[in-house]
Amino acid sequence: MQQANLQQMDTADADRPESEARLITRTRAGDMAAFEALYRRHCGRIYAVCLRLSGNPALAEECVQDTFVTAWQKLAGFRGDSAFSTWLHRIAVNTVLGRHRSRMRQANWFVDAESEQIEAVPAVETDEATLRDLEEAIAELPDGARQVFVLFDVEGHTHDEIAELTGLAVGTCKAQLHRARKLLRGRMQA
Amino acid sequence: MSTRNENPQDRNWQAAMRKLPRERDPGRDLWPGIAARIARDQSPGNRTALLQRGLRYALAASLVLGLGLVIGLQLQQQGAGPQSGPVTAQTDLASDPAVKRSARRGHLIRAVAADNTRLQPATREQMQKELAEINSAIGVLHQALARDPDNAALRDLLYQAYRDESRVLAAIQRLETRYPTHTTL
Repeated sequence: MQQANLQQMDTADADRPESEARLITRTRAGDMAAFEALYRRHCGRIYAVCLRLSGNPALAEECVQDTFVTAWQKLAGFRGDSAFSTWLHRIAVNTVLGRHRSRMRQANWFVDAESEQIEAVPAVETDEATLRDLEEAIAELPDGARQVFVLFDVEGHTHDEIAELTGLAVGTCKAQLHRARKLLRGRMQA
Repeated sequence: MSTRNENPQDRNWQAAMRKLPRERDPGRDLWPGIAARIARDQSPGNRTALLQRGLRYALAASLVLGLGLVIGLQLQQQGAGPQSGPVTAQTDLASDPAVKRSARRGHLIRAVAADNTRLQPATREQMQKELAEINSAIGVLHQALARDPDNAALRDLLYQAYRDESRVLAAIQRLETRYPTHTTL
């Protein structure tokens, strides 16, 4: 009986996930196993962000790898002012946008619509098939429109935050959001 | 300041967007690629010339250790018995990183620099040369870290340099304790 209890306790200890703070501390000391544990915890979330922002699975994989390599290099500078997931998310967003900036042409981003109002859109059904179609439609958006759309409507950033992340003017962000919603609406109604 | 849209229809739209899965499976394990890149980025070959120097010093220290072992084996075959050397130190310098800054470390380094050891002259000269190179690397790495204090690769190299120094000092101590001055190369 006692042995069974001990075994149960051992199993419970083994199953208990190590705290993120401890994993971060171990990683800072150069422990790759701890960093791998952090990767396993966050890779799904980071991949989702990279995939939606880039619209390209192969590019998203590269960005995930870049994100974690950058995180490894900069972890000493992580002060814990925000959650690790938030810090990692920001690295991921900057990674995707940085890659985009390096190859973008200004013409692709420029939308002469500072005065455009963001158009209200009809309610969206949220059944599984519709969400799948929506994912595909998001992936097909033009780069600039997709990135602003994902950051605003999916990730919940404000226009000010998006402007800071992308280097665009707030008005341009709004215009890109309008453009993305318009394109998505057309696609979903087709 | 414009932030989020408060239009009810937009809120409905945004609520729908947030029903998209927060996580996606990459479809393959990306960790091996990440681990390989971290290892590669940390290797001196892909860093600065400074880091290349760090690797060379580590290699040099390893060679010194190898040389020490060969000398030791040869002398052991010649039947040399263990004796007490003029310089004593902790038994295993490499096992305790804190010893790198200890008085014992300074004492050993000064002893080697002042030729106050029982090492054979050629061996002592080689050890002095290797210690000087490692010490130079430590200085360069400290300077680099002063400019880039968050650089984990530099910190790792600095730690390795101290470890190398400790190993060389331990090898010196071991050699002179076991095989005093009368030994030959």
